[in-house]
Amino acid sequence: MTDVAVPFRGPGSESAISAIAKPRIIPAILFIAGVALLLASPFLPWAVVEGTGIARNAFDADLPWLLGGSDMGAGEGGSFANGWLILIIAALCAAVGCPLLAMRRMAAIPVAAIGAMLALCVYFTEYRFEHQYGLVADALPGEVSMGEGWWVALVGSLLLVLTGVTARIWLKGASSVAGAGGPVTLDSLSGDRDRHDRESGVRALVFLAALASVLVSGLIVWSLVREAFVYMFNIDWGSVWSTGWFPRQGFFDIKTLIVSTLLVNGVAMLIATPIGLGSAVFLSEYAKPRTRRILKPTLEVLASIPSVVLGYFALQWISPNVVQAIDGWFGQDAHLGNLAAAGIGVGILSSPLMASISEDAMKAVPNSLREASAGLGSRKVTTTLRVVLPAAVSGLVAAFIVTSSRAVGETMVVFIAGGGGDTAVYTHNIFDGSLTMTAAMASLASGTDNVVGEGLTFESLYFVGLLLFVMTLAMNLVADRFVSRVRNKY
Amino acid sequence: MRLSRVFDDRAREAVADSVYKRSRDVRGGLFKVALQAALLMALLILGVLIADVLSDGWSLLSGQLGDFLSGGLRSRSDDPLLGVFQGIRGSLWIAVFVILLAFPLGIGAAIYLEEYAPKSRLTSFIEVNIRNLAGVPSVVYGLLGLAIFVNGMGDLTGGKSVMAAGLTLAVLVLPIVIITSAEAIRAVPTSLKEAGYGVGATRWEVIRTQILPYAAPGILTGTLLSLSRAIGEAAPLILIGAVTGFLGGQSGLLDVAQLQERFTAMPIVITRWVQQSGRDTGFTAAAAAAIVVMLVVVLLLNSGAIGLRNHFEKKRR
Repeated sequence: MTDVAVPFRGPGSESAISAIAKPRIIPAILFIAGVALLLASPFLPWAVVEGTGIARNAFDADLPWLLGGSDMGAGEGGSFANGWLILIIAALCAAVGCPLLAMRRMAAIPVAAIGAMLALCVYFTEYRFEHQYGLVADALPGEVSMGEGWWVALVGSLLLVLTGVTARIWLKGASSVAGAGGPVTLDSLSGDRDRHDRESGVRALVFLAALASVLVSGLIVWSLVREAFVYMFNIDWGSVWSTGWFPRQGFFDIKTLIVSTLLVNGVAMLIATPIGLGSAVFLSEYAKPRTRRILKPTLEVLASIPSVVLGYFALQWISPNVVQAIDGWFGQDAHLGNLAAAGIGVGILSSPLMASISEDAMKAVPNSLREASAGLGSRKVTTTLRVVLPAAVSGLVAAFIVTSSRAVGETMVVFIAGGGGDTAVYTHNIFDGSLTMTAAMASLASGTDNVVGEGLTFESLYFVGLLLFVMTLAMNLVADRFVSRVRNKY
Repeated sequence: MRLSRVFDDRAREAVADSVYKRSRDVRGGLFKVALQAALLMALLILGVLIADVLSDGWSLLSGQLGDFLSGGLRSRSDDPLLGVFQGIRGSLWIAVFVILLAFPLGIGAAIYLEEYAPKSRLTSFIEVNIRNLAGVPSVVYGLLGLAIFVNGMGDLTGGKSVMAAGLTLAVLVLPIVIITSAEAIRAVPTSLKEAGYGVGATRWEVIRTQILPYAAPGILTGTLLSLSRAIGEAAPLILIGAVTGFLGGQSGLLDVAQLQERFTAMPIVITRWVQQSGRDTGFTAAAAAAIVVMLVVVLLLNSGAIGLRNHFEKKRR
């Protein structure tokens, strides 16, 4: 950078120049000391058995109580803050921090952050240490205490935090001095470097956060497809179209699951559509603002009730009081758990969603349409039925699709109240108990401690999951189309 | 001439009729009643649900609330040590993970999408992707958690642990946090931002000093709603392998070491007890009481969020 001709040299400029030229001695010392301590710490004794001279450093993993090891007896390496981890982080810190400090850039933030993380990790090992030591105390010849290594690592990481803080203060001083009338260079004309760095740093951070969602989708698809392919390539397809869902015996009749899913979904939509659509029309077209202010939050409370609660309600109240009261009309005798009760529960659960999406759709209809209709002399009901609803129809279709996609994916209500055990025989009677796709997955996973069983049981979980994922994804994409059609129209 | 007079008379008559004679709009009235019935039905169901749960669980809640809150999972319903402590502990830690992971990530992503993102293919892909993620059923997130956090990262999470559960539910609510925060940020008036840029602030400075403070209530509402969702969600936890039977080891509420251990959570406890009530009817009361405990937390979070939003909406108008 060439010096630009200095237009003025104020009285404070001499001291300003010397302030800039002052070596960054304090943060540098702190930084070097911190890294050195961290590099040394794993080699020092971390755990000492008093009175016996037994000591272990952070590379030893033979004592189960030492700094992790995910299992009690296992001699594998620890997971948290073991020697190699500390060494790697300290080396990383040195590699990143040195140039940053040398460039007088925003060294403070990464260095302080790494230090704080390390300190947390090290402190965490103390918890693990005490916890695991407590479990094997009898097996040891003496009292165990944390050795010097632990303290050194803790002090080292705290020094890094301190480096960050002091460097921050120093940098701040330098930049404010430069602004106060030092020699004006191209550097100072190009603005505050800190602000530039912060801007690009923040931008990169939030971009990574946005990318995280893409990563999640990728992981979902990858984990589903990987296991589902194992299933699809190894399964005898005859067992996928048989008499029932007995995963542990190797019978994976997918049509049992799909038919009961459709039945539950049908019942649910029979409940959710009138309740949801009716509430939405009332709230958007009829309710006075004050009524709306009270009713809308109440509906939102209904939306927030967890699905397990609805499952309990479906099993303990809806089934005996509603389903078992009407099953005689159809010449049926329903058990306590049955698909009808589950369907009603799912319907109740999804009606607020139906209401809120269809209300949004009707709110999107411009008022000019309503006013034009009223101006022609039509009544409120005519305006609503002939003008508003037709104008909002795309949104209403979207609401219906989104709601049924939610109903298809609903698990707990069907799992609790659907009356399916671990297995299900094919049925198309809503008064029988059976398993939907989601309930089958839940019962497969909860039946035993692990998902185990005949051959492809575990993989069948992912196969059903993939099927469910594809179904709901397709429905959501179609609904998205409808929603964007509304948006483009008005 | 004559024709038009007749027409005029008729028209005048019709207008007079419609003005002076009060005709009943039967169809409209019925329609309105039907709509009100739909809404009333929703409220009625809510009322019956709460009344049912309260009356079922009342015996446990009124008599021995303290024991119930400090007890654990038991195999018999008349065990005096039966309670929800382990469930509360698990749900608490899950909430911690959601707050620490999903909130910053979600708000960051929302800031990127609303303020930084250029109009590009990548941006619209991310947006579509987030909307679709929000529609993915929660069991599928359970499968993700089982494959990635339990089996893939078993060394770090300790397998079927509360850490794996917390990570999974953080991922589950991430799209909700992003969508609600993005909506709140979008509602910030452009004039406010332009004023900030006008005095030479960088984008981040405008975000920090103008946008975030203005959007804070909206963001807070979204985060509270997603937190209550995470607390009530059971399906992914079942897939991950939450403990439904006996859970040993009484670590304290805040003991960090339990992060890598087996766990249970409130919705799981409830599910377990409802299923057991088939054999041992005493579990019905226990499940209802646990539901009341969970509903209190969930409804407090939700009404807090809704109240907050309404308060600020009114203030801004």
